[in-house]
Amino acid sequence: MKTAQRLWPLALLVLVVIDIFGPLAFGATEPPLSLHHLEHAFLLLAGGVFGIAYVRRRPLSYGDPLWLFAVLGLGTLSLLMMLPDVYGTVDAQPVLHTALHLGFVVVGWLGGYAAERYAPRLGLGWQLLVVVTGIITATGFGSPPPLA
Amino acid sequence: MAAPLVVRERVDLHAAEIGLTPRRLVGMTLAVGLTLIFLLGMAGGIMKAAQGNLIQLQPQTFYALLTLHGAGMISTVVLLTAIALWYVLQEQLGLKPEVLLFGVVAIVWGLLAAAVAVLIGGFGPAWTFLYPLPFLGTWPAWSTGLFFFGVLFVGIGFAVFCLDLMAGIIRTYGGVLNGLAWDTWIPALRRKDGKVAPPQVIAATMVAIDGLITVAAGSVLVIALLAHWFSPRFPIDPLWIKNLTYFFGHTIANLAIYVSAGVIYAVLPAYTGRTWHTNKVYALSWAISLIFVPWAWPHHLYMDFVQAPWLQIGGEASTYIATIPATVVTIFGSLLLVYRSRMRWRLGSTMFMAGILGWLVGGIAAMLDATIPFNEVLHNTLWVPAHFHTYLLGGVFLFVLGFASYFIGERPVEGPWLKSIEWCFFTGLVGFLLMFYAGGIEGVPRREAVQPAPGPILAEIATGFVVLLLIGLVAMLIEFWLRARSSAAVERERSA
Repeated sequence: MKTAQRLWPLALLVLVVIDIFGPLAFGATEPPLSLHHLEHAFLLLAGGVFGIAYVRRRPLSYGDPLWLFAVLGLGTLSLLMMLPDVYGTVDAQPVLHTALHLGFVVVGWLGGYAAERYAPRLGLGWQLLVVVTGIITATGFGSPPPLA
Repeated sequence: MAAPLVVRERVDLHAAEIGLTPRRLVGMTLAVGLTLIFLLGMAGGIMKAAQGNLIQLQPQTFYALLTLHGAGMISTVVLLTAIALWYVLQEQLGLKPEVLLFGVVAIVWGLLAAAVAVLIGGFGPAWTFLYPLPFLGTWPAWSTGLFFFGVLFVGIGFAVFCLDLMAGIIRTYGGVLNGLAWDTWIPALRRKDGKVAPPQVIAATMVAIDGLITVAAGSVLVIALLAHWFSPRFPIDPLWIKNLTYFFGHTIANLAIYVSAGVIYAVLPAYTGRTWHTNKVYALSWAISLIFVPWAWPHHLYMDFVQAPWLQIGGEASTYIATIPATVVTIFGSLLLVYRSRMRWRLGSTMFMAGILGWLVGGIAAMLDATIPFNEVLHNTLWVPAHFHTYLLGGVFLFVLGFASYFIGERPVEGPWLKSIEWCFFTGLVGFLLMFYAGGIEGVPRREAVQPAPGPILAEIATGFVVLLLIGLVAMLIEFWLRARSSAAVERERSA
């Protein structure tokens, strides 16, 4: 059990590193838009897991509403990072694209951290927001009508 | 191992320094919210009078008022029910007024932005703002963007409420599963101190989870619309955005009812002198509502033939599955709580019981409309506003009035003045709703400035009932103001 507890963060980290730096190293092709949205959700979620785990390793003081407002701001920021005007500029440049994906992990980390700082286990609320937003964006955010 | 917690007191001190007590905050929000409801009701009355040819209104003005009335009413009702639930739970869950203040300010800002977009900009594609209508109207582009920013702020305000509620529930009960009282079913979840979440906390947990899901959908919706507003190159699939609009709009309106249920669980026992206990049936009913409420929205899209059939069928099934359990346990629970309890029939308790009736009637009318063979006849007729006015105005709003009456304090004896207010208000309410239902049965289309017969005559009669309703509401607000003043005077005397 303890080995599994030690291994899963490492396994998740390996997955995140492959996902972020894989295309840069191996020149993989761009996935379809809906899968790409899910990929962003995965990166946010993974970042959130690390953020939550980090807070649980140290003494915390909770209750400052600023942490709650940070959660909301970061949620909005994660959506704004997917706007075509932002994304379109970085999409064509592999290094910037990789940096933006790294940005998703950072935003996810901060979101999980901020939520846990407001109240222990509220990180689950952040993760719920990330998962739902990821699924919904994958169903059609930024996609034209099928017949267009 | 979990780290020790250090509770920070700075925030509480800060709240006390600026005089932000829960009572003052809730009282102020109630005053603002009820005034807004009255003003938005006036807008509704003006629309009815125009449809009944009693006054002349340009179609653009009518649709702008329709937009303001719809968006404003939903947002205000969400605000009022949220603060009512917050107030009854704040001590139990250790909720902080400054967090709620942020949520209230965000919603009020959102409402102001929407009001400016509509009243100055003339934005008028109705509160559903179905794509591509917001981008095709005669109104200026700034009003479109401002309106969407307003919706975003309302969503942020509601998210603050949901997240803070969730935090309080986790802090007090150890997790959301305990907040949902699943420990009544799963022994492994049981707490050592034997503490089980009361019914109002179960309702609050369900609202917090589904509220966050709804806000996530709303954020994607508004960001997509704002992106298209900034850059028309941003592609939008009309069916996708329509689904999302109703996912957000339907669910948030629906959640106002479930928020109100939490208020009923907390406040009705104060009138009956009995306690509302949690049991396995409650926990199961609310778990079903938790899962199915966010899946009921497709019943708004039955006429969209390109919609996937599984969504249409799922929408119909979810409507029934989501609505029945929580409604039945709440209604039966209320009746059992009142039966032979020698309840004090005061303004507050009357409003709560009448609201339960409105919830039931509006719910049945809603389920009828969500049943596909009925919807083939009733779709987009006045039956639709009939059902949602029944459960929002005749249900949720009555709970808000009931809460306001309880919050300010009941009169020991209710004289003829109060009885006449109630008669005036309820006669106006029932008559107004009946005209809507009659229009629905006759197939009069909704959301039209000019209606075919018998729409105008029904609207003319309805206008009279709206006037009665608004007179009753104003009288009730005066009653609340008088009571608040006298209780403040008593409070001052006590402290002197």
